[in-house]
Amino acid sequence: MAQMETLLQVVLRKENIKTDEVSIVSEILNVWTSFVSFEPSLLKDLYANTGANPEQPAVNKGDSKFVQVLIDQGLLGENSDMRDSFKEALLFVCQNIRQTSLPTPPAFFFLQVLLGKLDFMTKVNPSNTLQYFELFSSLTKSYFKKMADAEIFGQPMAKLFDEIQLLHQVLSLIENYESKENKANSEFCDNTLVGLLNLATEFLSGANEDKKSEIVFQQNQAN
Amino acid sequence: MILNKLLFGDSSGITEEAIASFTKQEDLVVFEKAALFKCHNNKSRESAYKLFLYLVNHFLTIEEFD
Repeated sequence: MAQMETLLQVVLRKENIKTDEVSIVSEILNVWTSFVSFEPSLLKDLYANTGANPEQPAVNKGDSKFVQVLIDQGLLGENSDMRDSFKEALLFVCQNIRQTSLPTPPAFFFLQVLLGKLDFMTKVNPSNTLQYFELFSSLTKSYFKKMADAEIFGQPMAKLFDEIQLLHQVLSLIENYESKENKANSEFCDNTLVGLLNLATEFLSGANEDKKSEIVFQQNQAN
Repeated sequence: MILNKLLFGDSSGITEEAIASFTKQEDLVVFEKAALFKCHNNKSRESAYKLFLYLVNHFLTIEEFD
């Protein structure tokens, strides 16, 4: 793990990343996803210093170095192909590893990491934020689906966050956000603005699903 | 009228006061400001409309728009 972190840092430290270097990073990420899929306990290194467990969900203050590499330098990096590679790798890990021996599933861990960066995202160049918001949106969707399924099957899970509170946080970010779009250039799309709008929709949708599954659960109980 | 203008992405002649009086729901006001004054691209406008529909569904009944 440490070697992979070092390799990634060496490439990501460069200012102008070339196509073959993107391929190198992509290969390193492939090796990493293969390793952690085979041995999910390797992810414990990632969780170190983040407090990523249900009792102490706070993240970001002490993100492990590797998390910083994956998110700050990779997912939010300057090179678009590179960001795509990091997004795909993280999505693969989140969707395919459901190891119960870990303090929290990777999908929940990374959801919390991304959530912790939300306020900061309005300060990032919107050209670099597409992959962050796409990953966040995917993880949020699957989180709400898992919550709703668990509720329907009578095994409710502890919530990672209050979706209505988050909705208000996102709406407040939208309200205070200075859009980079303008009438003169309607071709330009502000990925941060779109990402925030989509996230607000996801949280609302999750809140509505929550209500629906509660009703279904109550109906099942009554029958 | 404001709703029509929103759907066609036309902010001409709409003041923030008019928007505020359109609904007292603060969350809807955020959407309206976002759609009218921040979104100038089809993709962002589409996201704003989708959010609007969810907000309406969540906070208001259809009668309030009649």
